[in-house]
Parts: sequence; C-alpha cells; structure tokens
Amino acid sequence: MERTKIAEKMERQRTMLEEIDRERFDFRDADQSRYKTGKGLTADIVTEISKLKNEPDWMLEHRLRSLDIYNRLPMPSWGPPLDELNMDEIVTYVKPDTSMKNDWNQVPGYIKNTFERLGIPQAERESLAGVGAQYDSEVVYHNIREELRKQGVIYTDMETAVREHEDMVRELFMKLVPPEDHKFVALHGAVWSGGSFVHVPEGVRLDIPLQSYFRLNAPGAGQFEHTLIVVEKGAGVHFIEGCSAPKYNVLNLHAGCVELYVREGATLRYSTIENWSRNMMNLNTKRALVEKNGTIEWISGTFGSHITMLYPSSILKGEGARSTFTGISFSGNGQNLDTGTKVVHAAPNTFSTIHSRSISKDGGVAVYRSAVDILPGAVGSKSSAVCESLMMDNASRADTIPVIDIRCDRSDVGHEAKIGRISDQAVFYLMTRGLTEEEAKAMIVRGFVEPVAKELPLEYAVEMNRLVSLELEGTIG
Amino acid sequence: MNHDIRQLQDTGETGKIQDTGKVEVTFQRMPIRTWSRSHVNDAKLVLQGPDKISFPDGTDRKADFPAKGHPASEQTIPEQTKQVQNFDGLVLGEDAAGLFVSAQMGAFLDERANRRYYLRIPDGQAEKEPILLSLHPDTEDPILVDDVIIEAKEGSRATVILNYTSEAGAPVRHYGRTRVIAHRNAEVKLIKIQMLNRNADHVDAVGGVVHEGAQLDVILAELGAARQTSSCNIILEGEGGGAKLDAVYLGDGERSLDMSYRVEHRGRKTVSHICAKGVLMERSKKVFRDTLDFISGSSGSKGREEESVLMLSPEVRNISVPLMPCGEDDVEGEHAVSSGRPDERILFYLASRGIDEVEAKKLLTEAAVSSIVEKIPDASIRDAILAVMRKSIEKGEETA
Repeated sequence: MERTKIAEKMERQRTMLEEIDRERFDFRDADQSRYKTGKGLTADIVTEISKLKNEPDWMLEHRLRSLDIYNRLPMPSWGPPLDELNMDEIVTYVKPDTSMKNDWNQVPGYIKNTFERLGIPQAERESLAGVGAQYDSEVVYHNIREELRKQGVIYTDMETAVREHEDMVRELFMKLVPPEDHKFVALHGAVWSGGSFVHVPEGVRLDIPLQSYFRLNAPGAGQFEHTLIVVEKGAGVHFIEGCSAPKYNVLNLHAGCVELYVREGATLRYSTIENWSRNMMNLNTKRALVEKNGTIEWISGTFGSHITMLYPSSILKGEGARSTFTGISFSGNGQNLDTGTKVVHAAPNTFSTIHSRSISKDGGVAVYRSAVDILPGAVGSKSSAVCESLMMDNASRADTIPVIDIRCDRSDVGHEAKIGRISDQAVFYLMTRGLTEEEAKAMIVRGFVEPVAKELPLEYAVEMNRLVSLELEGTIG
Repeated sequence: MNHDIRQLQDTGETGKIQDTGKVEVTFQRMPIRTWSRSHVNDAKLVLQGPDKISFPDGTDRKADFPAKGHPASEQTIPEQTKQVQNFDGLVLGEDAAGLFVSAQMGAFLDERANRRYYLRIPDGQAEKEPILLSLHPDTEDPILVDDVIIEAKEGSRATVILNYTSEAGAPVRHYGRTRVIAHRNAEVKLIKIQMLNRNADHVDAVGGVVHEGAQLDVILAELGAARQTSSCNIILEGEGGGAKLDAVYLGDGERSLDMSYRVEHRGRKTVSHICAKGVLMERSKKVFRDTLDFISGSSGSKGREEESVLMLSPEVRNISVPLMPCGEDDVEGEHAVSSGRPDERILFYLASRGIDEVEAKKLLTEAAVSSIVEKIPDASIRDAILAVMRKSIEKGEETA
C-alpha cells in the first residue's frame, strides 16, 4: 500500500478513535440528581449522608471516626503528585433521581440509556449471572438470576446489605481495610456510598460472572463505593468490576474500597477494566484475605484516569493459599498511572505470582509499584514476579519500584523486570513478511498485552484489545 | 567546599549537633520514595563527632583529630597519592556521592576528615600495579573520617584499593567518602573492602562521574561492622561511558546492613551492570537498593542489575529493592532478584560425598561470591575475604 494511502487510513482511524471514544465513554447526561451534599468534607455532611441512608448508629459512628482519622492522617509522601486534589471542591454524595430497581424498564430512561450505551443490559442477558449498576453515589439497578438466589447467593447493594445482613456486614466492614490504613481509606470510611455485597455460600460455584458497573456522571463529584465479597468454604465466583465517567474540566475523585474474604478452599477471580475519564483522580484500595487453600486471582486493566494509585493486595493467611495478579496499564498524555500489587505470605506453602505489563506513550507515566512480604513461618512459600514495561517514545516514563521483604529462609522468591521499546528487529522481520511498520508495531503491542487479555472473558478481552488498538492508533504513524 | 558544621544547626535542616560532637542525620536512601511502612525510604543514624569516644573499660578518650586544614597523622602512602590538607582549588564538578547521604554528612566530611587523599592519574598514564591504601582505625585512633578523590585524566588507567580493617573489640567508627572522576577514555577500578570489627560503625559514600568513553568498575565488599550504611552513585555522563558495580556483602550476628547503589545513564550508548551477591545468617538484617536510572536522552543505553542472596538462617531479614526508573524509550534495562536457602538436594549430594553441613555451607558461600572476589587483584585480600566468610559460618553454626 502506498504511504499516502496508509496515512489516509491512519488519519481516518484516528478520527474514528475520537468519535468512538467520546461516544462510548465520554458522553454525559445532564445533572438530574435528586439530592447532593454541599462541597467539602465536614462532620455535618457525613452525618447527613448517614441519615439519608437511614443507617444504624454503629455505621454513623464508624463514619465520624473515619473522618477524624482522615483529618489527622497526612497526605502520602510518595507516589504521584496529588496537589490538584482539593477536597473543598468535591461533592461527596450525589443521589440520582431514582431508587434501586431490579428491572431495567423501571430505571429512568436517561440512566438506562447510559448503561445501554455501555453495553451492560446486553451483557447481562448474554453472559452474566447478576448485575449491579451504580450511577453517581447510589446503585440504581441490581439483579441476580433466580437459580443463584435459590442456591443462597446474595448479591445486592451495600446499603441493603447493611440493613438486611447487618451482623455479617458489621463483623467484616472495613476490618480488612481499616480507616487507619491511609488517608483515602479514611475518607472512604467517612463518605462511602453504594457498591456491592456478595455472599457465596459454602460449596456453591458460579459458572458465569457477576458484574458491577460504576458510572460517575456528576461533575466535580466523588464516588466512594464499597465492595464486600465473602466466598465461603469451597465456593467460587468470578466478579467483574467496570468503571467509567464522562470527561469534565473539573477534577472528579474516586476512592472506592474493596474487601474480599476468600475462605478455605474457595476461589475468587476479581477482574477490573477501568476506563475513567482523564479528569479523574482514582485513589482506590483493594484487599483480599485468603484462607487455607483458597485462591484469589486479580485481573486488572487500567486505561483511564488522570492519576491512579491502585495496588490490589493479597494477604495469604492460610496454609496453601494462592494469589495471582495479572495487570496491564496503558498511560497516555496527561496520565500518571501508579499501579501494582502487594502480597503478604503469612502462612506456610503459600504461592503468589505477579505478571505486570505497562505501556506508556505521549508523555504518559506508568509506574509499577509492588511489595512482596514473606513473613517468618511462611515456610515453603514461593513468589514469582515478572514486570515488563514498553515505552512508545522518550517523552514518557516507565518506573519500576518493587520492594521484596523476606523473613523466612525456607522460601523461594524471584523477581524479574524488563524495560524497553519495540524491537526494531521484530518490526523489520514482520515488515519482510508484508506488514506495514504500523501494522507490525500494533501486532507486537497486542502480543505484549495478550497474557492479560487471555485471562479475561472473551467479550472483555475484545474490549481491552479494542481499547489498546484505539490508543495505539493515536501514537503510531 | 568547606562548611562550618555548627552553622547547620541554624539553618533549620534536620540533624542535631550536640556538645559531644554527635550529629543525628536522616539519609534519604531511595531515588524514588515508596510506601512508608516498607521502611526502606530513609536511614537514621548518628555521626559520632571527634570530641571523645567511650570505651568498655569506662574511660573516655579523645580521638586524634587534626584541626581543620591540617594533615592527618603520618602514614606511608603510594607515590601517586597526595595526602592533602584540603581540596581547595580542585574543580570537582558534580558531587555524585551526595545523593544518598544528607548535606550534614557532606559537611561533616568537609569539616572533620582526618585522612584526605587525592589521587591523580596523569593523561595517558597506565598504572600497572594497584594503588593500595590501608586504613586501620584502632584504640589509639578510633575514629576514621576519610575523604578520597581519584581523578583519572584522559586515557589513563589505574586500580585503587581501599582496605579498611580494625582489631577485634575496639569500638571504632568509620565515616568515608570516595569520589571518582574518570575523564575521557580513562579506565578506573575502585575496590573498597570493609572488614572492620563487629563493634564498628561504618558509613560510606562513593560517587563516580564517568565521561565519554571512560569505564569505571567498582567492587564493594561489605563484610564487617555492627552497623553499616553504604552507598554508591555513578553517573554515566559521556557517550559510550560504562560502569560495573559488583557488591559482596555478609550479614551475621545482629548486624544491620543498609546499601543504596545506583547507576544513572545520562549519556548516549552507555552500558552498566550492577551485580550483588550476598550471604545472610543468624539474625542479620539487610536492605539492598539497586537502581538503574535511564534519563531522557540516554538513547542506545543498556543496563542490567541482579542480586542473589543466600539465606542461611530462619531469623534473617532480607529486603531487596531493585528500582528501574526510565525516561528514555531507546534503552534496554533488566533486573532480577533471587533469594533462598541452599537447595536441600545440593546439601544432600554434598553430604553423600562426606561433606558435613558446615563445610557445605562454606563451599556454597564461596561459590556464591567467587565470581566477584576473583576480580580483586590482591591475593591476600581475596584470602582475607573468604576467611572472614568461613569464620562467620563456623561461628554461626556454633551459636545456632
């Protein structure tokens, strides 16, 4: 193909990228919220949120205690710059103009339309066992297949769980991730709203996934959903989390919290495809406690946001517990994606594998940050980490910051990392086979992300590959 | 260059100067900070000033410190080396050694150094024999503060060995800085061997600036001292510059080791290799940070860092931080860390050949570090290093 035609084709694709991107994720609805708090963070606002939700006293106490901790804790002294965040400008609670429904036809048209455009109802019909959809601060839709309900599976929003499963929630809520952990968890503890509660009873294994989708529509707002999942002994589930928001000129904040309890012999796969808009500060916390012979599998794709700090953590508490982390991040212009994982081996014969890949381009910053701790007594434990970074130009950054802390000699720990750009030799080879330079580079990048894509359900793998292709088309050529 | 150390107290900088001459300092040990709870970002320590040092017999002795600007006590030094009063008048350029130590440490060395050496290798001169400086703090002269500058002029070649030893038992302290400037096409090998006694305190900073086509190879053997805090920062400034940084360390007893080593690729087509081999036993604790930093513009550069650790006790603490910040796409960087105890099958095999566990551990330890130790061009020092390691294993087995 002649160079001019290639250029025309690439130009056409770039235009499509912007159209598709805007159409698919960056569209926005007019703000039709029923109620929102004022900007900023005060005890009055926190109390107001709790009263609106008609919460028990212990939850209000928890919120106020968290606020106190938030006020006392310093900002992190490491990581990406957070100077742009001004909590006085953030609206922490925005209630949409509806209550939670379990029938899409009862959800207000503009909200239903939003989720239709994101493909959620269609996915529910075709490939999901249950769906939760959050719009701003509240869950607007939650449903689960009847056969799962009959097996005792609970999948509902957190507010309902606080009311209907209060004992379990009170025992577990923010116990794995306490508000003292860091400033933004404390913030979450004070103003959390929405999110999902999942309880899979002993021995029940779900063949198809559950999915919660979080959409933040209001400008200058924060989203603080809480996800609490308990997978009982011998049970198994795949939970998918999706997030997006339209782009505004003001900063939005996401400070969610995920607590996962994986009981003996249970398996939980937690997949996230995050595509927040480029005005989002995504300061999220996720942690799993894994008991004897349990397995946690993290699949994490980070594509969007202005700044992200996200390190899904696994505490391998029981003998034989396992964790795998498979992560990909794609950082473009104006993005600083600080991602990675933490693993604590706290019991004998525990196993962890980490496989992280990042791509940075157009001045984007991709940071891989990790901590692997092998505690005394974790005899026979093994940890293996492989981290690879691909840089598309020298205006971008790719930093690798792992910490490995071993306190048990009878353990086996390995860590490898590589950094570099697309090999000229590989491109040349593919070009001798008839591909253009652009096609060759795109093929190599798709191969680079393939280990992550193959871990996703087909439709999400397709989605991720499409996101990667679209991002690349803005770079190559 | 010289600062009045007491003036620092008025500047609001961290660090406290006490009447006893102690300086409390915090060193930032990471080029990029990470989680505070990892406890790898900083190192806090006290620099013991010159006024006095307390001995176990209850006596206080004044250290033999010269007044500022006067030469230290006499010792035989090689011809190429000048013992100088100060470094005034020298154009040193960028201070690479200052990255991992605080400004107070720099001021402390400027003010209190009691050994200052300046080694200048003239243009095109090749030193065939290694230049050996033996430094030996003892009960009479228990605080050693040395400040060494090695300047290798264009096309010159030299090997410099700094060997630090002390008699058993004396509570000596060593604070040191070694700065290397390798001018165009120069080749410098710097070998620093630290075998101070188990009561010693050791704080050391190495810095190197490598110009176009030059090569700086550094071997650091950290085998002694109750507490050691060492760093090495090499800047590959000029195109085609290269650096190899080999480190051997030994942790035993209650020893604490804190190391921060880094190579910065600034020039085009620069090449580096950091290789560390460590042995930890008993209740020792070690933090090893190694960094390859590719600065934007260092196109065509390659770097590799690797660390392997042999853990010989269930009570050791082994922290590794292999960092790789990168702002240039046209580079190749790799790092790898591995650690663990000796493979049971190897121990079993050796036992089946009549080698007991202690001897087997000695063999495995020697095998682990031999690739680096063999590079030291002084047989007596090589033997001394291996002897220290063997002795440590025997002692560890006795107390286990």
